[in-house]
Amino acid sequence: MTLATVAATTADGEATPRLAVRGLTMRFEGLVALDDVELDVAPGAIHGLIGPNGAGKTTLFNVVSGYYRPTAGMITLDDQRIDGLYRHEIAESGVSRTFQNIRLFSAMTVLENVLVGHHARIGARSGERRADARRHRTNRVLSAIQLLPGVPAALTHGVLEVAGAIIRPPAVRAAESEAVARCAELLRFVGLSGRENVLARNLPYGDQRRLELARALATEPRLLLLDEPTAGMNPAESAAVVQLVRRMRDELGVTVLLIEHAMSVVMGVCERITVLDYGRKIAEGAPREIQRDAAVIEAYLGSGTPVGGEEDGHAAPRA
Amino acid sequence: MFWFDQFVNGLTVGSVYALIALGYTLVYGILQMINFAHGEIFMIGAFAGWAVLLLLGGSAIAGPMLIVALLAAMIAAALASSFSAVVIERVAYRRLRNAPRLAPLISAIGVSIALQNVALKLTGGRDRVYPRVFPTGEVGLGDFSVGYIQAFLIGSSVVMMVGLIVFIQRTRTGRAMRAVSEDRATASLMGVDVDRTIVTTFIVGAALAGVAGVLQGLWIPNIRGTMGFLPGIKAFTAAVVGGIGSVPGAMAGGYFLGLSETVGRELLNELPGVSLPNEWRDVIAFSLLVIVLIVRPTGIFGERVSKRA
Amino acid sequence: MERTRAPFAALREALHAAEERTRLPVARLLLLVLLLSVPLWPMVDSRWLRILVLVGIFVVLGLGLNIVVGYAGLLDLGFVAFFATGAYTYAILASPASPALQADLNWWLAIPVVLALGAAVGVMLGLFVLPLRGDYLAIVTLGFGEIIRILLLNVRGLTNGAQGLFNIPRPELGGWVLRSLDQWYWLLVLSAFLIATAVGRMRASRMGRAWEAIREDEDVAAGMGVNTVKYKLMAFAMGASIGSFGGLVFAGFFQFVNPSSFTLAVSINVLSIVVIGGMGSTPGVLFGALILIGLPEVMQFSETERLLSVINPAVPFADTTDWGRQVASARFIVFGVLLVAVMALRPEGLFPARRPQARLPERHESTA
Repeated sequence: MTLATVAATTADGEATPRLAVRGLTMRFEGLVALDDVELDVAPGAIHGLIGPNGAGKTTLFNVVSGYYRPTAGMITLDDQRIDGLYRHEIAESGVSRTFQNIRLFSAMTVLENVLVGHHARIGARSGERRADARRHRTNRVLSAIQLLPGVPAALTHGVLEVAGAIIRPPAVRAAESEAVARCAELLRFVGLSGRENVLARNLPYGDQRRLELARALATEPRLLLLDEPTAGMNPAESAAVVQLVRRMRDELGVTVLLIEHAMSVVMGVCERITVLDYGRKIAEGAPREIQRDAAVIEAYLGSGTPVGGEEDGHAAPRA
Repeated sequence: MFWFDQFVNGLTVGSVYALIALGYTLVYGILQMINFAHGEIFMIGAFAGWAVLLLLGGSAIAGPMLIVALLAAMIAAALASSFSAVVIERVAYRRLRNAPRLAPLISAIGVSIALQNVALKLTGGRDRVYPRVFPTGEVGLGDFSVGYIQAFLIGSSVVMMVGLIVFIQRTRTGRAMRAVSEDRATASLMGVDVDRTIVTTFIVGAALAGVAGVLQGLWIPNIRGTMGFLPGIKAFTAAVVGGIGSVPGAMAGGYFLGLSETVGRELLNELPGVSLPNEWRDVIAFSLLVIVLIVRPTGIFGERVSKRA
Repeated sequence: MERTRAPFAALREALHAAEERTRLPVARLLLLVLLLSVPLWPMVDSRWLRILVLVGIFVVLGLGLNIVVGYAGLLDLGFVAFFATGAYTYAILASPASPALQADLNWWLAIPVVLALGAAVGVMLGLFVLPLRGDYLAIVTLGFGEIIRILLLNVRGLTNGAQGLFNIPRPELGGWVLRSLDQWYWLLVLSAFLIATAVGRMRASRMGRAWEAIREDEDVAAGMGVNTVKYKLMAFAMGASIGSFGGLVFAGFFQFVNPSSFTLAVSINVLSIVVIGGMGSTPGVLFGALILIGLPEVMQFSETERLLSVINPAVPFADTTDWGRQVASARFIVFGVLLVAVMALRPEGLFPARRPQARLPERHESTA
């Protein structure tokens, strides 16, 4: 686990945030999905992100994990800037995620799915990753030119990777069996032991969600973004997932930022909650404070659902 | 008047490309898939028109009978092409609408290969020749003159395109088509019969391609099973250049492509040391396709193209 | 159903047990020996071998395209371009008719040259089509294949245009020249076996998983740390490299290349083999090539025609002499129909691959 960089402490004793989002704005053709959002997620926290439908929660995830390039703003992971990096570089630097509508590699087996998550960590000691290659980039043409000096090295790595795959020297074998062992362990962690060779598409719904968690964990994230991990689950399944999320933090040391509509889940598991509405942050605080916050109540009352009221109060879609 | 002739040739080829491109763009707009077999639908139209002209007397057709024969040929071509398109949609595409992306594409390629070779087999691999019924001659102003056939071809394609725009903008079916291409699920909720609208789209696109087949046959009389391949790809290029999914874009793209492979090639030949034989038309078209796809994937008339995974 | 399956199941069990014991791919080695022995079979004459060599070339091409289409999910309709690269590279460097170069390159030495150049062409095409998805990729690669053919025709200073290059030397090693059909056949079986093994190992590696992840969902693959650009380029490079090798064999075997051998029909043949055999399946490529390339040729044998006339006695004997030829000449109709049918009814192909079943470490059960 890459936990060596955890918690550089500042002078006044306050830890560097695991994730810091500064002035983040995302516009799509006139639509402002995120408007100057600020967000700090403390290391080791389970942080909730809530808000009515269309508030910009998933957009925030997409920006942080590199699926969209932000219109403005800055994102850092443990003081390292990650906005503008390629998606796979963001994953490598320690951000992973799951999806609201499950997106597994459906024609691959359960174990293979997790192994793909582990991709960047297999044989990583071969020196393939160099820190300086992961510079902040803004301009695509410029970044293509910046990549040019790396071409000979990339060619060498390509040839070596092919040769390694075909010849299978002991180092490659060792790395592969280590990866398989690690991924099998993660599958046991999420409770999918024994189903390694099943095709992902043949898993029942709840297990597919668990597999997504295992795949995300296999990237060895410092920060894990969970997009509605309990969506479509019954209370028992949902409680199990909540338990799993806690164990991820406690046993694997992963910091969690999660989007959730089920208020019982959010209020139960999160230590801190951020509320978005119309792409803006309208409140942030401990669950109790959020439940009493006037602006939050206003945002939710607009849709007629009390915050943390009924056991499974999903925020209804706003017209 | 070399350049003027090249320009008219460009417009003529461009009209054919534009008519075919409309079919690509309409189907793409509604299904986000490229109907690979569309070039073969064009070919079927050409053969249907040819058969009707032969039945009505072949090269003996003249006088007022000519108008009747031409109309009959075009209608037959439109019908034959539409019928094939409906069958193709039903057999090869419909059940694959929610399959992985490659599946409908491969299925379409299969249809294209099969149709081409059925036609080759039926004709014994030999060309068929359109009867030369169209009066030869030119309309002109001083030095500038245009052959009757080319004038007719350009004119009728413009008429059809105007007709298409009116159809899409003004009729109920046209509105349904637009609704389905905006958002299939919502259109269906609003009571639009999605399956029927998709079939209508195929019919309209195929009818245009079928008539284009007849028009080309009147102009360049040799037709064969593989005749749809190159125009198909080029019309696709035209649709992409114009911004796939956009109806005016497909028209403009067709003319643009037609002009660039005639006038454009000759212009390149004017450069010192450059001499591009006729075959380079195809290279020009493909290069344009690649360049446009890479530099500006939304096309020159860049309508919003949702980039779906 | 059950009864017909039982013997195969028993055979598979036995093979599996043998593989466990010996830690060798027993089944594959048995198949290799079986294939190598074919020229020794009594009924096999030069016509059969000629067809089998052709099938072998298409197996090699199919293995290459299978990486691009089957594993990485990139629909390449211009695979002939790589085939042409290999064939023309060797022809230009070795043919005495080559207008540009008289390098007299030895066929065996040409292997690394062709593999590297093929990979380079693959990467170049890959760079062009990187931002494109599915349908666009298909059309652009189709155009690429056509452009290559037009270039072969028109860049006469290098390719000798429509006349092509002839008198291409056969493979020669220290005075020993690869001449007989038997030898060519063996060469193809061995190289196809080696390539299939290499491809199988690539697929089972981290690289192969990256390819399949890209095929399944490119966005998510990137989000899981897969450098999609790199692996797509590698898929093109590997596929192109293998395809070029197929071209090298073609040029050495026929000793003559001209542009008419490198048309869209080649791409369609190879694509049909891969799709109908089963995308991502090595046995699919083998059986696909045997059926789609071998069968139409065999149907044109006179014995086969007599046999077909027996099957269809209603047709007078005299009229059936070109029955097989008729069917064979309609093969593309059959390919087209099969492509549609496979997509609709059996998208995994006629001979789908078995997924690798991971063997997990033992401690897994005990510590649970």
